[in-house]
Amino acid sequence: MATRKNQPQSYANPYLAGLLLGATLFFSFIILGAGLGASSAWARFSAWLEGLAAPQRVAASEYFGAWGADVLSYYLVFMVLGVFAGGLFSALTAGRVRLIVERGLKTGIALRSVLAVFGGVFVGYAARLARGCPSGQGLTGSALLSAGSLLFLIFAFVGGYAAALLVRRQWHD
Amino acid sequence: MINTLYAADALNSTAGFAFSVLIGFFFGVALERAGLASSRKIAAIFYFRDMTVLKVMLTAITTAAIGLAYLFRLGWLDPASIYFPETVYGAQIVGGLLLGIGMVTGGWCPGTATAGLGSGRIDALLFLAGVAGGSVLFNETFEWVKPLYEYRTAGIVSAPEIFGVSGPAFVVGLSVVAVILFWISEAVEQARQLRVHQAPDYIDYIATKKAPEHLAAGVPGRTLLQTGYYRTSIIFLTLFSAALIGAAAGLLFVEPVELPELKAQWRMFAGQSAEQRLMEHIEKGRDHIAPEDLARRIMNEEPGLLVVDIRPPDEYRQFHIRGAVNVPPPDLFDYLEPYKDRGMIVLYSNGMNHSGQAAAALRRQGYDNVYILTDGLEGFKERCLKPVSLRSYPVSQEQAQRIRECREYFLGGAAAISNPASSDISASN
Repeated sequence: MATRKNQPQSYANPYLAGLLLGATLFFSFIILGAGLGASSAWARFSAWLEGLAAPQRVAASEYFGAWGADVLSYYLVFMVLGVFAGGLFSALTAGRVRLIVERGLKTGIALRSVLAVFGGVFVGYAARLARGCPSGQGLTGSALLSAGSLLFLIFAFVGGYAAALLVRRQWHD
Repeated sequence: MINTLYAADALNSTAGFAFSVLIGFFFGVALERAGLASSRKIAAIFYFRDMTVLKVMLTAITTAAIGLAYLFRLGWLDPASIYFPETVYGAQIVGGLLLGIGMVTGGWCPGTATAGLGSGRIDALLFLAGVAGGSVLFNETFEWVKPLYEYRTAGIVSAPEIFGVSGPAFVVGLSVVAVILFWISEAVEQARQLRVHQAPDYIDYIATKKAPEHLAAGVPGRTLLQTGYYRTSIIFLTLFSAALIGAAAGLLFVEPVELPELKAQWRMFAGQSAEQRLMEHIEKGRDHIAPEDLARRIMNEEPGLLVVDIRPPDEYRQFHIRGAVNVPPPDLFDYLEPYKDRGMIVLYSNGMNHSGQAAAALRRQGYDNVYILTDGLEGFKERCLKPVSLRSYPVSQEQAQRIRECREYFLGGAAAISNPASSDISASN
């Protein structure tokens, strides 16, 4: 491959990357006794932030309130810190760190930014409702052959394909 | 036998946190290496331009499932030492649909966005801000969404059980489905003549607004494929497919461990009923109390036992366990202060959600003597108060006697005798 300075390396073979991910999931099961997860960490960050602004309100709320006062003392919060570090390390060593708003080549930053936030709100709400995200339910629950997790994964793809045409503009090249 | 941190109740300890960071690190590396720290590459699956998401996820799920199945089958890992997610059909189907819509709109999911944030993607940061907002919105609307959140709660349900096959057979089927989808994915990608989407070069185009040479020169996608995209060779995919199915099929040739204890544990994974699975879980859980156990303790007037009904007062008035006090969750801290670490506090609600949440909150405040009633009031009615005549399974003489005693004590002699067929206990007051 060309050695132009800072040129990003090719991505790995997806199947081999999948094996690494599967091995990570497997070791998570036998060491932690629990699989991978990400959305609850971000929900706890949000509970923590809301707690800074309105501590009474969070403590009294039925859902966040059940997490107690020390919301960040939770293993998935630490896992997400590791994911960030792993993403940074891997992207640095592969020359793929870029401060950019990823989008279609013909798409403006504004449209993409609005859709990113909007999609995030959907995912944040849906992950709480479904008790997990593609990591916690899709990977972890499916590897445990949990019926609800497998259904969740199938319906996530159904929802994605159903809405794909509506938001295709942001990926136009 | 492998001891997990979950089984040792040490997930949220220093060791749990340290291992979580380490495991998360590899999680992040795997996602970034696969190209899933890129929203363009993730979203491309919804336009059949790049099937990486499917390839990576299915490979990971299948390999982890095969590995676990071997450990269960060999008796090296007790399924009860693993945290199994609960199945709530309504919430997970609707949640899945909404999440899919959000994923194609935002271009990320929480895990990949975290790795994307590590790669400098600003849209990942915006997406995660949205996720935080969505979580707060969920908390604020929890009362409204709760019926859906709990709709069709089914406990721990294994898919092999639904299909009526053994765990290993299901894993073999899963690997065959995965392999078929891999080959379809490769064919789809080839048919779509992949262009910019799959090569990592586009990140510089987005950053600089200056097209990479091969793009500026109008070189078609095929050239880019050679520089940027790993095209899976037929030989590799054939070997990979064979290895995956072979590893799964090997499960069928491993003799399950014959020790009676392990055999029972293996049955769970092989398709034991969800109720049974839950029971075994609860047996391990030190914070649960079985309905029969609670009934016995109340009837023996055990000293130091405090039974707390945390449901709304009108539900309490309709029916409650004899001797229970009614304390709504907001008043729990004040009410229970004198009972902290004294005797035994048992919380119950209709199911286990509310009591479980309340008990967790209390435990974080240092209450080590809080227990929740397994399956809540509904479970108590079902297991202690349901008349023998209405039970679909055989009941021994001894059990029948205990049920009669329970009905007499908790429902009053009149209810038990005058209306023996009544299953609607709350209506009989």
